[in-house]
Parts: sequence; C-alpha cells; structure tokens
Amino acid sequence: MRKFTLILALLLMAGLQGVFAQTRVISGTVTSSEDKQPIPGVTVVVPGTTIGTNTGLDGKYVLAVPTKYTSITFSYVGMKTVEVPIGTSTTLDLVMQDDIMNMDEVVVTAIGIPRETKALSYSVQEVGSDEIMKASRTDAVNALQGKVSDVQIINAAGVAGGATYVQIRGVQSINLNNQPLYIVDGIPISGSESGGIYGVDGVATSNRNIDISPDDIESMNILKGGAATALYGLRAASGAIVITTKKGKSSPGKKITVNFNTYVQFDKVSALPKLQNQYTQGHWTGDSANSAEWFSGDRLTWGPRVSGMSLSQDPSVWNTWKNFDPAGSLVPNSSSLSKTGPAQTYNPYDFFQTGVTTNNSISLSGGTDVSTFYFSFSDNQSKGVVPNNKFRRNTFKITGDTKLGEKVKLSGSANYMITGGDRIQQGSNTSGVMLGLLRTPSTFDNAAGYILPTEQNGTIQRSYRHGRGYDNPYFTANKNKYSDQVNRLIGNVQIDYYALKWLSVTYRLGVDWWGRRWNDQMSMFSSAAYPDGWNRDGQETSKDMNSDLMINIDKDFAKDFNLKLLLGQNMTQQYYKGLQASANGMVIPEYYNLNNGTTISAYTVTSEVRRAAFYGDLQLSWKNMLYLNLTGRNDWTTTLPQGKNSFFYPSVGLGWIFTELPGLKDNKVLPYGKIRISYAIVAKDAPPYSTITYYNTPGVLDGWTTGLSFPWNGNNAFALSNNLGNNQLKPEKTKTFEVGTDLKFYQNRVGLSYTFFNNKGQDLILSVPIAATTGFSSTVMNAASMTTYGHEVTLDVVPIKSKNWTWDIIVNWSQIKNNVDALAPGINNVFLGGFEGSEIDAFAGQPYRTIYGYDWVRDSQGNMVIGDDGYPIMKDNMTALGNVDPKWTAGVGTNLRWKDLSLYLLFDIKYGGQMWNGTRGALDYFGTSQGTASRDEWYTFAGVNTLGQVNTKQVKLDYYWRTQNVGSGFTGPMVDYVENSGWVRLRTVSLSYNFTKLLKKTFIKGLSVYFTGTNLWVLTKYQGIDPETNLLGASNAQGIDYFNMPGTKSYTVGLNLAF
Amino acid sequence: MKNINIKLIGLVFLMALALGSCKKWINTDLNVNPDSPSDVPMSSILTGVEANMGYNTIGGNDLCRVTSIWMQYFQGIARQSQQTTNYYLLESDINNLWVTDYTNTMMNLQTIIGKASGNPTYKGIAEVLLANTLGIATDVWGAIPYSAAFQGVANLTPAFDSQESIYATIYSLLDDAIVQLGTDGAPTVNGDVMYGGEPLLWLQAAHSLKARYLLHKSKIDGTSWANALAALQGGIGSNDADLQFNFFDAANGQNPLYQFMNQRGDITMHKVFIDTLLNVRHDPRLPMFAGVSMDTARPYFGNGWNEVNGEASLPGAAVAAADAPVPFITFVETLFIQAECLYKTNASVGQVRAALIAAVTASMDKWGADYSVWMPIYTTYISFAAGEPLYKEIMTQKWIALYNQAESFVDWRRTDNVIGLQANPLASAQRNEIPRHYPEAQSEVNYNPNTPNNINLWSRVWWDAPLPAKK
Repeated sequence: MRKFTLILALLLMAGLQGVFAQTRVISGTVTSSEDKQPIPGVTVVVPGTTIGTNTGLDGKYVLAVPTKYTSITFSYVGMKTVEVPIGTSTTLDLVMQDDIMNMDEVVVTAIGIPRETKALSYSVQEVGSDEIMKASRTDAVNALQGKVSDVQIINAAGVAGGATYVQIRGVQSINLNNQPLYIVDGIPISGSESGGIYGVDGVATSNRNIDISPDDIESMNILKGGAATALYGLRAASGAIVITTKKGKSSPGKKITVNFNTYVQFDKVSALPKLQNQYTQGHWTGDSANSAEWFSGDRLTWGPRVSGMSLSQDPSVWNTWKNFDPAGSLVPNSSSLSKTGPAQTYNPYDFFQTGVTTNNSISLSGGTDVSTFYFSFSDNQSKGVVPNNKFRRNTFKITGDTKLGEKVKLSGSANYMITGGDRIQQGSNTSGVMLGLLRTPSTFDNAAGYILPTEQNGTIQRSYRHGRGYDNPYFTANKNKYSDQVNRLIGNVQIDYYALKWLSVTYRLGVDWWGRRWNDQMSMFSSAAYPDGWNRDGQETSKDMNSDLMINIDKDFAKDFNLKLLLGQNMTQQYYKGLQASANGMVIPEYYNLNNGTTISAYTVTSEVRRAAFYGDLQLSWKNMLYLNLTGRNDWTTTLPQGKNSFFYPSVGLGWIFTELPGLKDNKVLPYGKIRISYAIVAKDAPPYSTITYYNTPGVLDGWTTGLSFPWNGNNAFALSNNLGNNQLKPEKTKTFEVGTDLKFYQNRVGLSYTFFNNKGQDLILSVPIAATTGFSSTVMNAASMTTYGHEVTLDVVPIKSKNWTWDIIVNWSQIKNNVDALAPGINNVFLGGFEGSEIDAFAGQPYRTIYGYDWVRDSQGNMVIGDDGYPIMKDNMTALGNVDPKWTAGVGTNLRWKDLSLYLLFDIKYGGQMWNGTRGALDYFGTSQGTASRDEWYTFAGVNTLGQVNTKQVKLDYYWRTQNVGSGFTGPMVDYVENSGWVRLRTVSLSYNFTKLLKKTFIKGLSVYFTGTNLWVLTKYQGIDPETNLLGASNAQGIDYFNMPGTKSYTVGLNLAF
Repeated sequence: MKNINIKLIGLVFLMALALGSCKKWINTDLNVNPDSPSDVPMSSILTGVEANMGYNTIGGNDLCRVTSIWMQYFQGIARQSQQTTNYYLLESDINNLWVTDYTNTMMNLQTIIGKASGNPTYKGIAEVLLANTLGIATDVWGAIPYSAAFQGVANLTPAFDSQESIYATIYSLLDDAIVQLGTDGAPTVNGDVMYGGEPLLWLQAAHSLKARYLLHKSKIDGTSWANALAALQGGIGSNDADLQFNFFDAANGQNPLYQFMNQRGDITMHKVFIDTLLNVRHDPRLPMFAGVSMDTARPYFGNGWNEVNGEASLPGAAVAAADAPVPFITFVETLFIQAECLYKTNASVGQVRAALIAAVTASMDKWGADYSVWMPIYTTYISFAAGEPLYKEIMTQKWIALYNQAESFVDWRRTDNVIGLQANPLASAQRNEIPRHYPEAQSEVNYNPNTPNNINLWSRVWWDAPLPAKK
C-alpha cells in the first residue's frame, strides 16, 4: 500500500505542471432549444482535464482555458452532450437540444465507471433521489420495492430497525449468502446483518445498509446479471446495488445551497391474526364439551363459553389466584356463588401503539470552479408499534473535491453514522411478544399489570399461565431489553489524473469501519429460557478495506471507431472480530452487569478474508451502432487452498442499436431500438476457515433447553467440530446468459424493455448436511448445481405530456424459475431453516425453497384417507408441501401531474408463493384462533374412508382433536398451515405539491410538500399478519411465519426545502 | 510523445508493483481460524464427552422423557410430550439425540481412542463410554452404523450393522477396556469429571455394563442370566461407586430434566406410577420421586390418560433437582441384575429374596429414604414370595428403582411386560400398543440411503424377537 502512495505523489507532481500554462478566458450563455430559456447547472468542461465549471442561474459561464486545449464539452441531464471547438472568439454561446430518447443518459456501472446506457449489453434499472425521498423509508433499499424487476425485497420484521431481505434474479447460492453487494461511491460496504437471528428466536436486528441516510442518496442502480457485475467479481455474485451519493456543485453567483428535508410518519399495525373470544381459558375434564371448565393459569383456551360464565370474587374460588385474575374468577352463570357481573373479554391487540418516525436532514452544498463540497446531517428516530421498540440513526457526511491544477482532481468523502435501537423479543422465543399475546385467552387481561409483589419482598411475573410458559408481552416489552448501537465510518479518497485527453488514471481507497455494541437482558422471573435472569454484552468490529487502481483509455481511432479500455487492480480485506460475554443467574435483580452472574461465559469470533484482482474492461464501438463489451478478471483469495485460489473469469457482450441502420434511422415510430446479448462467467470463493476441521468448545444442547456450557464447574472442554473441513475446495462458477431488447416508440412516449436471462451455477459451494454416522453433521463442498432463468419486462407509457399535465405509467413484470439441479452426492435435500418437522429446504430437482413437512395419509389420487373415527391420519414421514417463491411479480407505478401537483401510485403484485402459517397452527392447539370458534359444530373431512368411499362421517374439531390428537399445527401435520402468500398491495401512494414556481422571486430555491402512504391497502388470501414477513429475517429461509411481528401501514407527511 | 512513453512506462511499473504486493497480500495461512484450535489434549475432549453423555446420550430428554412416558413414570400433558403419550414419535423428534450420539459423543470417543496409544486408562475409559453409548443407541434403534461409521467424507453413507454385531462390538469394547483399565502404572488421566480418572472405579463400571448387555439377550439366549451373573464379578460395589454424571445448581450446570421442567414443562407424574408408589406400596421414595401437587386435597397425584391437569405432581428431586445426577450404570442396577439372574439360574429362593431386599435397600439408601418402618413390613411380605410372583416383584422393584432411566424400557420389552403395564386406551386404533422402537432419525433418512425404511414404533429389535409360540 505504501508503494502506491509514493507513485501517486509523483503523479500529483506531474499534474501540477499545468498550473503554469498560458490561458485565455472563454465565456458565454447556454440556452435551451425548446423554450430559449437559459439553463442553469450545465456542466462545462475541457475534456481530458479537470478544468470546468457550471452555468449560473442565468445560464452564463466563464472558464479559463489554457491555449493548448481546443474544445469544450457541455452536458446536462436530459440534453444532448456536445463538444464544441474553441475558435478565435472568447465568447461561446450554445443552444442545447433536448435528448428526448435519452441517448446520452449515463449510468454508474461496476467499479463506479460511468457508461452511456445505450452502450451496455445488459439491463440496468436506476432509482433516483426523488423516488427514494418520497417513499420515506428508514432503510433506502425499501424504496426499491415494486420498482425494479427481478428484485425481491422483503422487509422481514415489521419492527423499527428490522432487516430487509434483498434477492436479485433468484438465489445464486444454496445456503450461503445470497444478499447483493452494496457499493457506495465505488466502495463496497458491508451489508451484513449483524447479530442476526440465525436461530428462530431472539430479536430482529438491522442489516447494515440501514446505516445510510436515504436523504444522502443521489441514485441507486441495480446491477443484476453476470455481465453487469463481472468486473466486481466474486463479491457481487448475487448482484450489486450501486449507490451514488449527493455531491456539491459549483454554481456561479451562489456559494451555498441549503437543503432541508423533514417528514413525520405514523405507523399502525396492518393485518393481525383473527382470534376467537367466545370461549374462556380452561380445558375439558371429561370427554364432552359439557366437561369444559375454566381454570386460572391454564395454558389452553378450551374452557366453557364466555356467555355462560360470570365473574365471582367469592373467596372459595378467588383467593388463591386473585392477583392473576383481578376482576374475579369465572364461575358458571348457574353457580350459587356471589357474582360481580358477566365474564369479560379483552382485546389483545390494544397492546400495539401508533409508531412514530421523524426524519430530519439538512445539507449544505456548493463550490467554486476549483472545489466543491457537500455536508449533511440527518436524524431519524422511530418508535415502533410495539411499546419500547425504538430505532435511531444519526448521520454526518462530508464530501468534497478539489482540483490541483488542470490534470489532477482529488476527492474524498467521510460518512459517520450512529445507528441503534431498543429491540423486542419476537418469534418462537418464549419471551416473544406475539407468542404471549396470541396464546393468551381473551378472558385474561395482560394489560392489568405484568408484575406482582411477592411475600418475600420481591416481584414475580403476572401472566396468564401464572408466570410460567410464556412471558406476558408487557413484561417482555418492559423488562427484557435488548439494545444496540453501531458507530460506523465509511470513507474514501480518490485521485484522478488526466494524463492525456484519452487517458486517465484513478486511484481510490475506501474503508468501511463499524463497531457495534449490544446488550441483551432477560429479567428475573422471565418465563423464558433464563428464569434466573441473564445479561449478555457483545462488541463486534468490522473493517472492510478496498483499493482500486485504474487506467482509463477513451479514444476514437480510425473512422467511426471508439475504444474504451479500463485496466485495474483491486485489493480488499474484510476483517471481523466479535466478542461476547454473558452472565447467567443473577444475584441482584434488575442489575444488568456481567459481574452480577453466577456463571459467566465468553467467546470470540474472528473472520478475515483478503482478496486481490486484476481486471480489464474493453468497449469497442462502431458508428454509435455496435458496441462490443469484453471484461476479464482474475481473483486471488485467501479462503481457498493454495493452488486453487487463483481464478479467471470473462464476460462478453454485444449491443446493437439497429435503428442506426440507414433505412431505419430517424424513423418516427421506432426512433430507438436496441438488441443486447451477453454471456459471463462469475466465480466465487468459499467462506473463510472452511478447509480445516477444528475443535470447538462443546455446546451441550438437546433442542429443548439451554443445556450445559463450558467452562463448567471449573472444567473446560473441547470437542471435534461437527463441521468437517474440506481442503479440496475450488471456486464455484456461475455462467450467465442474457438477451434483451430496449425499444422506444413515438418520441419516447412508449418504451418497452425485455430481458431473458439464464444462469447456470456449477460446483456451487454449499454447507452440506451429511449423515451424522460419518462422525460429522456437515461439511463444505463444491457440489451443487442450480439453473435460474427468467423474463423481465418493463413498459413505460406517457399517455399525456403537456405543459400542465403529465401522466406516465411504468409497469414491470418478472418471472423467475430457480431450480436446484443437484445438491451433493446422495443428498436430496438441505435444510435452510425452520423447525424440525416444519422446514424450508432446498430439494434436488425442485424449485429452491421447498416447504417440507408432514402431510395427511392420502390415496393414490391425493385424497385424504379418513379413518373410521372420521378424522384424517397423519403420515409418518415428511414430504414436499409447497414452494415459497412467487410465480411472478409485478409493479405498476403511475405518476399524474397537474401543474405542480403530482400524485404517484405504486401497486406491488406478488402472484403465488406460499408461507407456513405456524402461528395459526399453534393457535388451533391453544384454542385462541378464529378457527377454533367452530369447535361445537359438526364437520365432515373431505376425503375417502378406508374402503375408498367418500367420507360422510361427521366429527367435531374439538378439544380432543385439536389438543390430544393431530388436529393442530402444534400436534399434527404442517400441510394445513401452508398458505398462499401472494398479494396485491398499494405499496406507495404519494401526493406532492411543488411550490418552487410560486416562490421564484424569493430566496427559496425549492419547496415541496408531500403526503405518502405505504401499504395502505393489501389484498391477500393469507390468514394472518401481512405476508411480507419472515421469522428468520434476511436469511435464505424465507416463508416462515411463527408468531412474527405484524407488518405496518404508514402515513407520512414531509417537506423539502432548498435555499 | 516521449513524455507519454515515460508515463506509460511508469504505469506499467506501477502495475508490476501491484502484482508483486499481491503475492504477499494473499497469504492462505490467514485462512486458519484463530478462535478454534486444530488439536487439543485428550483430557479436554473427555470432559466434553462426559458432559454430553450426561445431558444427552444417557440422560437426555429425547431418551429418558420419551421412554419414561411410555414406561408410565410421566404423563405428557402438552406439545410433543402429549403426542408421545398418544404413541406418536416422529423422525424429526429424535433427530437431535441421534446426531449428538454420533458426533458429539461417539466421534469424540473415537478421537480419544485414536489418540490414546500409550495411555491405556484414557483408552479404557473411552471404550467403556463408547460401549455404553452403542448399547443405549442400539436398544432403541436396533441396527445402527458402526463398522463403516466415523469416516468423514471417506464414507458419506455408512452401512447399518445388525444389532447382533453391535452387541459383539459392545462386548469386545468392554473386554478390551477391562484389559486396558487393569494396566499397571498407566499414566494418570485428567478431565474425567465422573470418576476423577480412577481406573479401578471404571473397571467396576465396565463389569457392571458387561453384565447389563449380556442380560439384554435373555429373551433369545437362555445362557444370558448365567453369563451376566459371571460378568458381575468385579462390578460396582456401592452406591458411592455409581457411574453417574453429577449436575450442579448453577445456571449452566443443571440437570436436563430440571431444565426441561423449568423451561418447557409439558409433563407431570403419571397416575400409574404415583398410584403404585402411593396407594399400593406406600413407598418411602415417593417424596424423592415426585413433587407435591398444587391441589391441597391430594398432595400426590399423577395425570391419567388424557388428563392434562397442570396441578398434578411433577417429577421429584431424585430425577429433576437442579443437581440430580444422571446415572449411567449403578450399584442398584447391578444388584437387580444379580437378583434376576439368581432367580433365573435357579438359585435358592432365600438367596433371591435376599438379593432383592439388598437391591431395594440400596435404592432407598441412594435417595436417602427413611425405610425404617417400611422395610420390615416389606421384608415380611417378600418372605412369602416365590416363583413367578417373586420374579414379577424383582422386575417391578427394578422398574421403580430405575425411575426415569431408559433401561426400564429395555426390561419391559425383554420381559414382555412382566410388570403388567397397560397401553394408553385412548390412543388411536392404529397406535394402541406401547411402542418398542424409535423411528429412524430424520437426518439419517435424508442423507444416508442405507437407513432401513421398514421401521415403525412397533418394530422389534433383534433381542426383542417375539417369544416362540407355546408348544
């Protein structure tokens, strides 16, 4: 690294020579051909140098140009870029033409290289700052929902600060990371989910892309295919989200622009599971419904009808548990005991509150012809719908650049972020709030206090099971606290050296450093796994360094030929260290410190990976019609064994703008048409430390309890890891093929884009479960293969475009088939996540993410076989029951503008796909689900009896069937709880008014006010919470709902002000 | 142009430098996890195995709780335990137990045996524990892999050995252990948290285990009782010498059933066991075996079939205290083996009665029961017993004494229910008998095509062959 610094210093010196050259001053005015008005903000540069400026509000510019340069380039978004030769005159006025076909549109591609969209041989989709801002989401990635084809974004948690799962063009890996690479201003950043829920319980944590303030983002560009990401190499094997942040801009006559954004957002829980409130807590004591009895503390809600019961405070029935049932015990209406009124029911959902998010950000930006700067501060504070769930983010960002003479530009950026929150236990955790909330009988009031004094001067928990089983959700929200805070710095420095008009050198060094500390508390008398109280403290640090040295060549040669060549060298290091200590068994209640435990355990986790690469990107174009793109990259990695850790992979692509053909050029119907085709190979290395079998401190666990842990009674221990190392690993390869077309009709009033892609992954590295009788339960192997193909279509139509009205519609539709071809020799399925018996698996020969669990016994036609007792029979082994992923997805967005008022609607459609409704399955057992309200009604199972005749026997789905037999998701097969999770939703509705024109004469440069609603309307067949959810957060095992936190709908009012 | 050339040469030089530094940058030695050793001393492995056996292999919930529900010590009142009561046990339910037996227990024991050349005590201890684990596993699963197991990628799909050959392996492991543990001047052993590395204690346990596993064949081999009796020589000689894993009351050291009752609940005492101890026998061990119920009207009661009364007695301190030990093989069991073998080898009725009284007394002593009033009455009662009723009494007392031990499930099958348990009358028609076999483990079914596919809960293991029809 030191050597680079030296060379760069030399380059800098070389660049400084230009300062002393002779100059002349050129000035002029830039106007628009359409309305003859001056255009402010046009970029005016001398090509191949740093020399440049922008036009002022009056369209005027002044630029000192050394005499040796002979031309100036003018560019502006939406206008055609022109290079104008400098004549003898010192005045150079220009009339710019509208670029209706967006022929000069530039997007940021891999390694931060700007490229003209028309030259690309793959599809790209970009989302701009305005759309991101109006979506008003704490995590900017959520603003992409429904807008980008072939990208699935699932906001998994429904809580403030929860992680978001992003999947681009299906999955690439069976059970390793499938999350895209996030690139901020050319620097890859760490997007991992820290402290993630790798089990089925705990709290929902954030993934690290939440640290970026959406208000700082200029654009997000999604790189999907292998050809698009080939230059990034292995880290972008799952696609990349390229984030370009806002920069300062010089503007003559105006030193500083201030932007102020603010919004306030109100969140309400959206769909909630439907519950019954007709039956009380209790169970049957005999074999008929007449024997249903109310019991205080009973775990079940299979008691008598609420309407038949009264409250009694008679000491004979009330004294023992009166603190738990403060209104009285329940006795039959016919009871002779004194009564205080009819039995009451309570609405558990009163637990939820209105969440409030406030977001404020301010930025100062500006510059001169020599330097520019951008400074911002933002504050986002969220209060979740669950009491005490909080999230806060503060960001500080400074970006600047300065020109050291006419050949060298120095730029840099530092972004400091503080992110953290108070998070709530969720999921299958016995402290999970939904678990306690939904299992509570409607006749028990959780809100009537969550702690009770004891005779021994302490407190115990008040819950419907007398402090056992599950926590009262109020107890969890108030007593079992989890908080975390991240401090993060993302910084980069870049030097551009314009050696020649056609050759430049860039060096970029970036670092992403974050540290996270967290504290996890379980109160004493929590009924969860740590009844004696527990405190856990953790710290983790991640450092991600990235260095790129690039040589850019851009040269026209011969007639009609242009060559763009990039040669680069890349070095990265990713280092992670985590330290965690926990104290179990508290001595002093409510004192959360490691020194308060009776047993203390601690461990560290380290991960270090280094990689280096050489890469090249060649673009050869002919007559603005044919574009040939070639890339190649060779990677070296530390995670593969020596000798197998160097690998090369190429890509080739061709773009043909066929409307440039003589016969078709300038036709009115189809002024622009392109066909693009590309092929790429992307290789990827293994996770670190996969080549050796290690010894670990044994976790002595049985799947039911917290088990034993070491050091134990003064002894420590090690055990051979269950994961077998593999020193034969080699890189995995995915071959991707993509073909598509982009067509623009009638003055770009209609645009159509279509892409087909086919990815074939081979030698895919996966963590393979193996038979325990080998002595191990898993190993890492190059074994799997997977084929993914899909279609994506984007149609945009502008039916109305006039001075006062515009109406545009954008539709994107995509379909992906993600098939697992093979897993490993002898391995038919791999567990991705879930519970034993209710799993999400990858199956060889099946689409990815198969729902796998128990079914009913069926005949050869698939009819349920109904036993002589009238009930179906559970099968003894597991089978595939469905698939999580949708058949297709679509987004329909429309923008209607009248003068300065605009209305934006975005519909998000997910067709097909299934989810395991484990919540309903469990509640059918507990007797609180709406399905159990019909417990006294006759029911006939659809199926055939053992003689093959249609079943006609009537039965009741009663206490015996639901709780003593296999009639619930808790005791019986998974199959009845696999539900369609498709949806049609109004993802975003946004109404905004722009006051800028009204305020033209004032110091205010821009003012707009908007109202945005998110998820205000959702249509789904799913019988529970909003099916945009996942128990396991941003993990590969999507499609699990087991007492997940409900999703939200939100209402936002916001304002943007610039002066 | 010259200027350009110099710059280009400079750039090429720069790239060359970058290439040079790459070599140093990419050092695959970095790919060694600093947080996990790649080799460790035997002592640290032994501690971990013993703990895992205590918590999972021998004393685990998926073994003891399930078999205790079937043996009617416990009644499942919720979740999977309730399903166990109704004679459901799924491939996924016992997967954890299977995986931990093979990986955390047996693979690590194999590792010790592989490392223990020149250290016969380590080898002997590992062989005893391996024999015990194989015995526990084969008695619920029948045929299991051994000869082709533990080979990693060299054999991803190990063949299943017949139970007969597993038993041969158990005997040969114990025979070799007896030789190893008898070696004079062997280096000392560390990390043994059960016997403190004392070879003589391990030697006793090896003899008792040998007797147990010889006895298991009683149904198919008439010489079993005599063989077991012979093997008992040198077996465990006092309650203090029991091979058991001692838990202790700290948050990370508690007994598995204690943790289960605290963190899950789901079971209470069974009516059958409580009634036997309380109403039929007035057994002084009752307060140790069962907790006091929450119903003041009846301090001890268990749930009957399909009763889910949460106020019923819970498992008592003997098996569910935070520091309750998990027995692997005990003096009490040794004495019961002796009593049964004496009876079956036609020893005098006095000898058999004395052996039974000794066994029951040892069990009482083990739990500190006050039997001063009870024992004389019982002794009188026993003095009238002979023949089949005496045999039934031995097995019934063994069922009581080996409370919450999987060995009871072996005895029940081996003796064809001589103690007379009745199956759950409310279980569905397809499931109206007490199970005799565990299902194969889910992961083995998924990842090893050699896994038998004809097993259900009523399959019989090799030594549980149906009795030949009476002639």
